[in-house]
Amino acid sequence: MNRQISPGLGESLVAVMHFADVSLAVPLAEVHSLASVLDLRANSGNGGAVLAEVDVDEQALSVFAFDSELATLSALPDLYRVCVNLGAGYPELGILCQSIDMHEQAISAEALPACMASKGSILTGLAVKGEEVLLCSNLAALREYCCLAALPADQRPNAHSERA
Amino acid sequence: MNDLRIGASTVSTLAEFSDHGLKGRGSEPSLLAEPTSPAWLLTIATGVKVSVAASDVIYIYPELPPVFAIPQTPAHVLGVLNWQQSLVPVIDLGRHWGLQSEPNCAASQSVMVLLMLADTRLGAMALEQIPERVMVADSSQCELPASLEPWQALTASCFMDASHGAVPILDLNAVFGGG
Repeated sequence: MNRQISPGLGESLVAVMHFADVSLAVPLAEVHSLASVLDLRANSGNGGAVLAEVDVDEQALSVFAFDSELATLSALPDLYRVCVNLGAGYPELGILCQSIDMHEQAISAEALPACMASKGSILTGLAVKGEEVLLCSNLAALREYCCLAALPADQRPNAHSERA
Repeated sequence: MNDLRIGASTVSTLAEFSDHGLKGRGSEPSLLAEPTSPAWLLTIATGVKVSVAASDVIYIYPELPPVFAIPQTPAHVLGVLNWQQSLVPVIDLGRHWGLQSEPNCAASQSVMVLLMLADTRLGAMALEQIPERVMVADSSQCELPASLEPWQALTASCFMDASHGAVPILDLNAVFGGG
């Protein structure tokens, strides 16, 4: 017996970003470039979920990071060393993580089961690779999530909590 | 409440059985045993049982399988399990219904059942005890207890069990969503 629990999201090559005790896969086609934590500069804005900025192709990208619950962090974690610049065609968003893996084989993601859907979630689907379960997201979901997280707390309609 | 429904099938009433099955045979319906349907009793919290059709349970795990926690999902969703390379959502219905006071009650859940939903989807439910097999008769249909009325949308019907009192029959597609 080998049944799908939910509609497939298609097969694609993915990059897997590792955070504290959790990993998040995004389509490899949406990874524009990588940068080092040393390339980041202090956030010129009012802080909050935007941890820093990174210059990519003469654009200043806001940089975010997540904890083990995928909530945005408000301080740069010591162990996060890689900034993944996301964008399909042009860079849009920086995600700081511990490390990143490029999977050489395409994975087939399934949509989140209906009972697991949560408004404001960063997750778009799940995939299984051997014994490993991959949490899947994409640029659109991350962009929306991070934009909400960057708002002052009293202006966030459904954002998940921010952790220090 | 309409016909007593267990799982995907509607249990025939005795009157229907008499009309369609016995007319012209000269038999007396009152002499026959009442038709029953097999079901499983699932203990979702201490002293609280729900039921599903026997055919809805496709596997009972002898011990808890590994469950991968998924962030940013409802609190009653424990995660997913990997069933033959398919990911199956695992829920704690007792927690969903507010029947457990402790935020982390995983220690009390020692059994898991794999359930067949509509459209060949699967779902899993964490339980406190090994499921119990029962036979359910039409005449045992009853109203949902007042304490569970907020969850009426997740139940298909209810029956009175001699040992356990009123037992809701779950609508699994409503419980797991997307049905």
